Amino acid sequence: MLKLENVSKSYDNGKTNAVDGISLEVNAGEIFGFLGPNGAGKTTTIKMIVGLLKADSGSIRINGINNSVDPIKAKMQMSYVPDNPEVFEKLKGIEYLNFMADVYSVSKEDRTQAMERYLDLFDMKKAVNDPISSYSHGMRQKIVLTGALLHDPQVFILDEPLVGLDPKSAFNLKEVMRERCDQGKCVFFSTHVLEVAEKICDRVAIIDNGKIIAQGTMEELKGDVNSHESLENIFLELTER
Amino acid sequence: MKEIMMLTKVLLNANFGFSQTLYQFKTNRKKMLMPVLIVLAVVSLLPAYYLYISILDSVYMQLFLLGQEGAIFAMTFSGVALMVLFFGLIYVMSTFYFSKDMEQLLYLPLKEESIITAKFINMIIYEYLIVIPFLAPVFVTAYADMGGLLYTINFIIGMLLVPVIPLSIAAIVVMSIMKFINISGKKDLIRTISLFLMLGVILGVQLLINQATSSMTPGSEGEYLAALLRNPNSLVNVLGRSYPPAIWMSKALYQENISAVFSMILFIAASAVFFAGAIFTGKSIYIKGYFNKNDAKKKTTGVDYRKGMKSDSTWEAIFKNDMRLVMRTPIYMFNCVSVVVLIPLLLILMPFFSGGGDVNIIAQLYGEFKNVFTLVLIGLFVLIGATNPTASTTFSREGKSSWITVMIPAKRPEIFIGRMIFPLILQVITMLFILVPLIFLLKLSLFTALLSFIVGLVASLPTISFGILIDGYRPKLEWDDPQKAVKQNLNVVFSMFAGMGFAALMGFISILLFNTARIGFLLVLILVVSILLTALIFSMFKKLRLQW
Ligand SMILES: Nc1ncnc2c1ncn2[C@@H]1O[C@H](COP(=O)(O)OP(=O)(O)O)[C@@H](O)[C@H]1O
Ligand SMILES: [Mg+2]
Repeated sequence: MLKLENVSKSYDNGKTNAVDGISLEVNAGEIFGFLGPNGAGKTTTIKMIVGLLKADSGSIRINGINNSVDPIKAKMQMSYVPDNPEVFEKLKGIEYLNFMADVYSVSKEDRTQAMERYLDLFDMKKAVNDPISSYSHGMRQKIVLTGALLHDPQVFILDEPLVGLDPKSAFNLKEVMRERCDQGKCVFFSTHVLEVAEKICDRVAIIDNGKIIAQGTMEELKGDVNSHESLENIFLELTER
Repeated sequence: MKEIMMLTKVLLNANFGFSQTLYQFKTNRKKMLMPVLIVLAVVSLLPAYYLYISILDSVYMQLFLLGQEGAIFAMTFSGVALMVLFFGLIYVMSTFYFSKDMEQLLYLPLKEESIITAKFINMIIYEYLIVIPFLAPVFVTAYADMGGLLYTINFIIGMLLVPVIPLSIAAIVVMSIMKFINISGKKDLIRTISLFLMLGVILGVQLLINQATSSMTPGSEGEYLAALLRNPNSLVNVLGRSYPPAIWMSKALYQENISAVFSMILFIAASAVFFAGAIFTGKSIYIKGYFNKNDAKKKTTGVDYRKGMKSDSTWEAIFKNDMRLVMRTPIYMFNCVSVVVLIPLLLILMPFFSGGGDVNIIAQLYGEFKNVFTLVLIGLFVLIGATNPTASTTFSREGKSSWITVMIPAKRPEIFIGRMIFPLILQVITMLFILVPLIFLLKLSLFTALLSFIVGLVASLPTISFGILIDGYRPKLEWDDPQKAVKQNLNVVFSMFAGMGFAALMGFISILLFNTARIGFLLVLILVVSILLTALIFSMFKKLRLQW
C-alpha cells in the first residue's frame, strides 16, 4: 500500500544526506514501525511521503499512486500526524476538524460520526469548542489525530505519535491502529521507543544515517543478528558506529 | 550587578537580533535585504530630520532674541520625555506583558530585581533610538553660546537619563492598571485597543501640525514662532514649565558652575528615585501578579459541537480559515482590515477637514472632466488595493501551521480562489467607503460610481493575485510573533510595487491614448489587460511548488 523505491533527500545543497536511497514497502493490514536514533532521517522520510518535502530522487507510491505524479489523489489516500502538532491557534478545535473534513470531502453524516467516536476516545469532547491556543501539547496532538482520522485514510502516517500522549490516549491510539489494520488499511509510524515497536508492529525497518540497515518482521530481525535478543540489543548493535 | 549586566546583554541581543543578523550575513546574503531596506527607510527620513534641525535653529534664534535661550532645553527635554512616556506605555506593555521571555527567565536562579532591572535598562536603551536623534542637534545648536566641559558632561548625562523618569511613570501606571485586569484571554483585546490608541495619538499630532502649519503664512515663520514663544499659554511653554525635571536639566545646562551642578544633582536624584519606584513596583506588583495569574483556572465551555455542523467545499473551507485567522489575530486585523476603513477616512476626511472650499473646486472639476475622474478613481483603487497586505501575507500568516496547507489535498484553483476571496471582500469594502461619501460630497453620478467600481475591482485582481503568487513563492513562515509575518514581510513591499507599477503603466497608456481614444475603449483595455494578467499570474501559481 505504501512503497518507497530508492528515495533520497539531502539538505543544504547536498551537504547533508538526510535520506540516502531507502526502499521499503508496507502491505495492507500491516503496522509498520520506522525505527532509528535521533537525526537518522525518519522525519525527513515521512515528510517526503506526505508531500511536505520533495524527494531528490526515487519514487513514492501510495496505494499505487505516485505522489509526485498525482499528488492530490495520493494525498486523499493518506493522512499525517506530525511530531510537533502546530495547528492554527486561533481556530477552535471544532473549526479545525471541520476544515480537515471539508478539504478531504467528508460528508456531514460521516464526519459527525467520526468526530463522535474519536473525540470520545481521546477525551476531547469538552475542549473541542475552545480555541486551540488554550490546548496543551497533548491536546493539540489529539485534535490533529482526530482530524487525521476523519476521512478514514487507507494509509495512516504518524511521526513519533506516542511521545506526548497520556497513557490512556496512547493505549486507545494503539487500539485504533490495530483496528485499522484489521480492516485492511495500513499504518506507518516512526518511533525511537523500542518497546512500543516490539509490541505492536508487524514489521519494522531500522534507519541510521539515512540508510535502512535492517528490515523485516521481529523474528526475521532476530534471526539476522544472533538469536533471542531483545529489539533493544539488535538496535544498539546495528546502529553502533 | 554582574547578573544585571549579563541579563541586559542577553536581552539586548535577543531584541535587536544582532547575533541573528550577523549569522545571516555570514550564511545567507539574500536575507540581508531587510537591513538594507531599513537603511533606506532611515535615509528617506533625513529630509524631515533636516526640517527638525532648521526649526530648532530658528526657535533658538527667537528665544535668544527674547533673552530666554535657556528655555530651549526645557522645551526639548520635556518634549522628548513626553514622547518617551507615550512610546513607553506601549513598550512596557509589550516587554512585561506580551513577551514570552519571562517564562524562560523566571525559573533561572536569578534575583527578581535583576530581571526587572535588566528589562528596564533594555527599554531605556531602546528609547535612545528616539532620544538621541532629537537631543543631539540641541547640543550642537546651543554649544556656541553655552559650550564648555561642564555643559558637555551635563548634557550627555542628561540625555542618557532623560528616559528614566517617563519610563518609570509608564511602568508604574501600566503595572498598576494591569493589576486589576486579568489579562489572560484578553491579551488580544488589549493589543487591539492599544494599537488604535497609538494610531489616534499619531493622527492627533498630525492634525495639530497641519493646523499649525496652515495658520503660518509663508515667509513669516519667524514671527509666528516668536508669537508662539511669547504666549505664556502656548503648548511648548506650558510643557516646558510644568515638567520640573526638564527645568532642572535646563538650569544645569545654562547656569553657572555651582547652581548648574546643584540642578544636575537634583535631576539625577529625581531619576534615581523614579527608577527605584519602578523597580519596586515591578517586584511588588508585576512579579507577584505574574505568579498569581496562573491560578485562574481556565474552564472549558463544553458547548455541544454538533449543532450548526455543515460541510463546505474546499475553497470555502480555505477562505473561511484565511478570514478567521485575520479576524482573530489583532495585528492582522489591524493591518489588513482596519485600514479598509481608515484609509478612505483619511483620504476623504482630511482634505475636507482642513477647508470647505476645496470640495466645491473638486466637485466642479469632476463636472468638467468626468472621464478623467473615472480613470483617476480606478487608479486610486488599484493603488489602495496594492497597499493592503492581506493577499501578500496569506501563506506567511499561517507560520508554523503551514504544513497543513502543504499537506491537504487541495487543488490549485481551490487554493487560489479560497485565498483571493477575503482580500477581494476587503477591496470591495474599501471601494465602497470611498465611493459612497464621494457620491454625496461631489455629487458623483451613479454611472461614474458603478463604472469605476466595476473596472476598479477587476483592475485590482492582478495585484491581489500577484500577492498570493509571491507569498506562495517565498512565504515568511519562521516567526514567533505574528507581527513579523506582516510587518517584516518583504512580499508586502513587492506586491505594493507591483500594484504601483501596474497602475503607472495603465495610467501612462491612458494618458497616451486619452485624446485619440474614447473612454469606453480605455476602460475595455484596462479590463482586458487586467484579466489577461490575472490569468497569467494564475497559470504561474499553478506551476508553483507549494512546498516550503
Ligand atoms: N531543514 C533541515 N535543514 C538541514 N538539515 C536538516 C533539516 N532537517 C533535518 N536535517 C538533518 O537531516 C538529518 C535527518 O533529520 P530528521 O529526518 O529530522 O531525523 P529524525 O526524525 O530521524 O530524528 C539530520 O542530520 C538533520 O540534522
Ligand atoms: Mg524526527
